[in-house]
Amino acid sequence: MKKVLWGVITVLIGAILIAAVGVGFHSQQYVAPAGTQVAKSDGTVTVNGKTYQHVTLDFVTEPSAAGNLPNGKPVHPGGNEGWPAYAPNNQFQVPANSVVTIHWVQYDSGEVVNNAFFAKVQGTVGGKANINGEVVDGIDPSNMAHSFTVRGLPGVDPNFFVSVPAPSSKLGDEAVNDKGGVTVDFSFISGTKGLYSWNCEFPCGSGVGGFGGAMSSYGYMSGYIHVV
Amino acid sequence: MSSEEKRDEIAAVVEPVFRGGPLWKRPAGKVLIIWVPMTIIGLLLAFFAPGHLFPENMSAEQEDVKTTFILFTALAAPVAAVVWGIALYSIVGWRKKSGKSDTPPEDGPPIRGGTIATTIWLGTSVILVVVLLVWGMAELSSELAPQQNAMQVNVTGQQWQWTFSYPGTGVTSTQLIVPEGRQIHFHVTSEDVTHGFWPVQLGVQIDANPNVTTLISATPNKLGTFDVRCSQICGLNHAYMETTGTTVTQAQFNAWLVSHGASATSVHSYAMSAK
Amino acid sequence: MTMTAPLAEDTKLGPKAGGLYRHQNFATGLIVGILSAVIGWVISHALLQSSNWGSDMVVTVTLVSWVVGFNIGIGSFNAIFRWSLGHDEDHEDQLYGAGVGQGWKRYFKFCTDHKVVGTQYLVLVMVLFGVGGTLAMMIRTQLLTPNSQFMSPETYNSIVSIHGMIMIIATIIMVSGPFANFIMPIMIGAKDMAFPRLNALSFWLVVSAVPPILGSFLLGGVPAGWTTYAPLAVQAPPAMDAFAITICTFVLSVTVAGINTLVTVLTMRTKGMTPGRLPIFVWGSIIAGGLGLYAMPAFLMAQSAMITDRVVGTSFYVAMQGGTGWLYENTFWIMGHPEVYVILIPPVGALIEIASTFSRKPVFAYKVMVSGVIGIATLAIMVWAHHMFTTGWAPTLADPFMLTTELISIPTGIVFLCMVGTIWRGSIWTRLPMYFLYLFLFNFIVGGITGIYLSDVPVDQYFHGNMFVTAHFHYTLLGGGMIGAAGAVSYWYPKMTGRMLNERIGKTAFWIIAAGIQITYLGQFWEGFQGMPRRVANYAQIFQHANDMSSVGAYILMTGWIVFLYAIISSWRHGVKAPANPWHAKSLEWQTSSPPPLENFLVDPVVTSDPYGYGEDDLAPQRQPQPVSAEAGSTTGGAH
Ligand SMILES: [Cu+2]
Ligand SMILES: [Cu+2]
Ligand SMILES: [Cu+2]
Repeated sequence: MKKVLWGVITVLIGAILIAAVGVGFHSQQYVAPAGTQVAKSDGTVTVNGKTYQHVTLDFVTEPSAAGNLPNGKPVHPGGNEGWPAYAPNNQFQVPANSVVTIHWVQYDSGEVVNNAFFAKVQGTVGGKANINGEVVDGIDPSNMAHSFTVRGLPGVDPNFFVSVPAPSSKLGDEAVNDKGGVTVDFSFISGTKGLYSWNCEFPCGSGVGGFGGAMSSYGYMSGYIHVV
Repeated sequence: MSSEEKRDEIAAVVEPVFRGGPLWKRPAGKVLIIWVPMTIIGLLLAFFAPGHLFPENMSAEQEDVKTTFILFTALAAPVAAVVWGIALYSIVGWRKKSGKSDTPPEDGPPIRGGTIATTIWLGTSVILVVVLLVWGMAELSSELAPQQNAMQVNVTGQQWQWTFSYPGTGVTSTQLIVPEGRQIHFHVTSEDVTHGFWPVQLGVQIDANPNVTTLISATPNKLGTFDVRCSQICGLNHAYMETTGTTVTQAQFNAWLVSHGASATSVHSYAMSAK
Repeated sequence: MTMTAPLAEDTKLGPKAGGLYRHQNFATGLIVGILSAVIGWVISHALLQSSNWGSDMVVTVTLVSWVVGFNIGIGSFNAIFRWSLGHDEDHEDQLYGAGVGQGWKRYFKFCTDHKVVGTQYLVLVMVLFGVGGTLAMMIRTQLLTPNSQFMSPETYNSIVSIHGMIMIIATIIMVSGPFANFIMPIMIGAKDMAFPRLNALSFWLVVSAVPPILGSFLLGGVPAGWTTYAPLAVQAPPAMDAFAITICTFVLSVTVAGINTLVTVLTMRTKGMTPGRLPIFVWGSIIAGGLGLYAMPAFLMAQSAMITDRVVGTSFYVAMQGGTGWLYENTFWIMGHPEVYVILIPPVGALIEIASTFSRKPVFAYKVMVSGVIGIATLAIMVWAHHMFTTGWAPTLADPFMLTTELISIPTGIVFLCMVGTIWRGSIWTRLPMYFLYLFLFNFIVGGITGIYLSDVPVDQYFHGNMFVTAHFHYTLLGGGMIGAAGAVSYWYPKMTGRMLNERIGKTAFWIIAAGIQITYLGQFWEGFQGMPRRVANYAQIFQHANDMSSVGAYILMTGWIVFLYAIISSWRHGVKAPANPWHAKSLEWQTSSPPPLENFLVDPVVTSDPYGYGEDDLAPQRQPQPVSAEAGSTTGGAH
């Protein structure tokens, strides 16, 4: 009887230890300090004769996660020097089946993209984006900075695909966190409810192929969209 | 083997199997009573389970996978049943009551080996291996044989997207659209690290390597959608590197290409392309 | 706690015996290791002005300094220093080095007694399984729900890699560490291993290899799976350097241990211990040791090239600069396939000892069995490319590799023949070790048959990189290997600790483990059939039922292992005192006290037959077993 009790206690201690490790790893996940950006409602909008709820999101891309945003707040507190980052959020929440309009200001420098396919605008309303005041269906693949590429997670709306490129900042290789930004504006129609993942498809990280560093660390060039 | 050893073996191994009273009283008979139902269950599982476990077949290659799975399971069932049958019977029939006591039961018969048993065992496994091998080689060579009306699709993996392009037409897409009923040659490469191109219901798979083009072919034989996944861990968003494929008729396929900006002539020559 | 050998009680060593060893232990190892790591960090940091903390060079230099420093601190190289200064150790120094008169403290020292090293390994293996099992629980928790956000994909990928590698390290040493060190020399009637210092070195090298791989979580994580295929691993964060340093250190340890095992069996057998009389477990140990000597250096090469690619920019594996990932994949699997058998052969050997002892029958077809294991080891070095059937590396070699892979099922069948033949008409004594043999027979058949599907190239084109593969190798490595190791623990526990393992707790653990394995891995087979890829942080809704089954099974399985651990720990303290030969077995290790004295036997044993002469007392004299004659000497033994 005593042995049974001690056996149960051992199992409980084991379970508690494992749970503690679990809590530790759970807290490891990097979500930008500003948390999830909930899309702002902006009336309704009609696309191809159908009326949708209209919401907006806005974010920036910065050449260094260690620096500050144009409004003076840090990009990512504790972020790595020289790692580009989306800011201030990397998680977004939008309503299902509605038109999402994104206002994106891009401050980072550009380079040649490895797959020119991602220099094209895809899956947006009208297949185009307004880049620096010009409505275009793509940019120069030799001067691309980042892309905002969204897809449905396994089993969630698998055909959902939106990808919009952004060109280099006006300062080119001299890019800084708060000057020379280019604007990218586009809309897309959100899919069914569920979790979607987005990441940048321009290899803007470090290491071989440019997919190390910022590209491989969750929260810099990647995140989730919660469609509710 | 000395004559004495031979006598030992006959006494210890052969006797209880082939001689000495009615079959059901010999150990071999009792094991047989376990073996028969086990084998039957195994065969039933072999023939009926895979249909429920695998996703729907959408290509000749995936049909091969399922057939081979059934065949191998059917061959394995009797072998597994021998081992499990003897093990099970040994617990039921040969266990000595002194399970909890500190003194062991009396020694068992000193059977040190058996040329006959070993030969039968080895012979059976050699035959089985030959069957498996011949089957596998035949299957493989039939899959690799190029067909008259084959068509090429270029597949590019990159962290963490698939793109598919249809040579000559200028069309590139993140969805894989293929016509039904003709062999598709996938030319697979990668922009960065190693990925695994896996159109699941087509039952084939090949890695996408940087700077190399690897080849795999499949013949979709059913209209509908299938999953395309990455089967080789490729970093952060490896789990999300998946998309859908669709098998359509040749006419629908041509129309889809045109709707994605391909010229009618390029579509015509691509559709007619035979390798 | 343990029964001390007469020598240890009576012998008073001089105050200076052992020299520097007197002041060295695990703590000095840690101190010198950390100091040396700090120095390494400062120097590399200063030399590389341009680099910042976390760069590959700095991490590499720091961690190599740690490994070297730790081993200097604990005394791994003392003898070499002494010899280079022209001194030698005298007899008293050697006795001190073997732990004489140091009680429990010798377990925290560079101790050359093979029994101490074996016990150290046993504890280390349990710790590593604890870590690896905890990480497995993280994986299964993440996979409880589709698109789970329990962990970020980055954390999840790192956990998958480190779970895999920690488990591989643990399983490689789980039997060859504790039992080939503690038991094997006694089985052949030797006083110790051939190279006692190398033996201690092999243990402390593994210990020093553990912190880097665990530290990888703090260095950005290894997102590349335990296989760490290049170029993905070349691109990975500095954690990958830590991973590679762990591998290199571990390979050195396995190599050193393998040589030691081989030389011990070749040169240290007691009188009459001819090759034909060696216990199967000894055959298993040397065959696995030899196979390790062939296989592990390939891993050293693969990971050294990885380090140079990452640190100094060579391009062995970088396609854009003329390298190829296939080079890594080949060197990796030239290690990787034989390694599976380095893991499996020792537990199989142990299980055959168990089969004979608890069926009260000689091992069936001894010579065929030994040839079978040699056959497995030989074929094992010719099958590596079956892991590369779908890479496109050599399509024309598909047929030959399919042939060699399927051929392996013939010698593997011999293992089953030997086990089943030994049980056949035996007097089955259902003590705990025997339970594990039965579980092995069940699991390993499942693991073996699913391996045959994977050897067929067209079928592999569906299952490669798929959870089916994961389930297959867990059935073999856990369901076969770890279950064999658990059998070995319960079999030799009385000999190692001097106490009986509590069988009631052990059997409770057994049933929980047995159920847990089936639920966990049948669930993963199901995932595989449905088409779920391996190593994914998220999956589609359709896979949820299968994943939930697997996760629930995994929780059950972990519970079972914790109960087993409880049996081990509590019996170590409170168990019934063990007699010298609780199983009435005939091999040499049972003919001396439990635990054995320093140098194992008070009288050198003489062997006149193999240790399997059950039921042969009334046979012709030349076949009568007279395995031992040290019984008279084991005065400190128990009731027998
Ligand atoms: Cu980017
Ligand atoms: Cu991939
Ligand atoms: Cu293998």
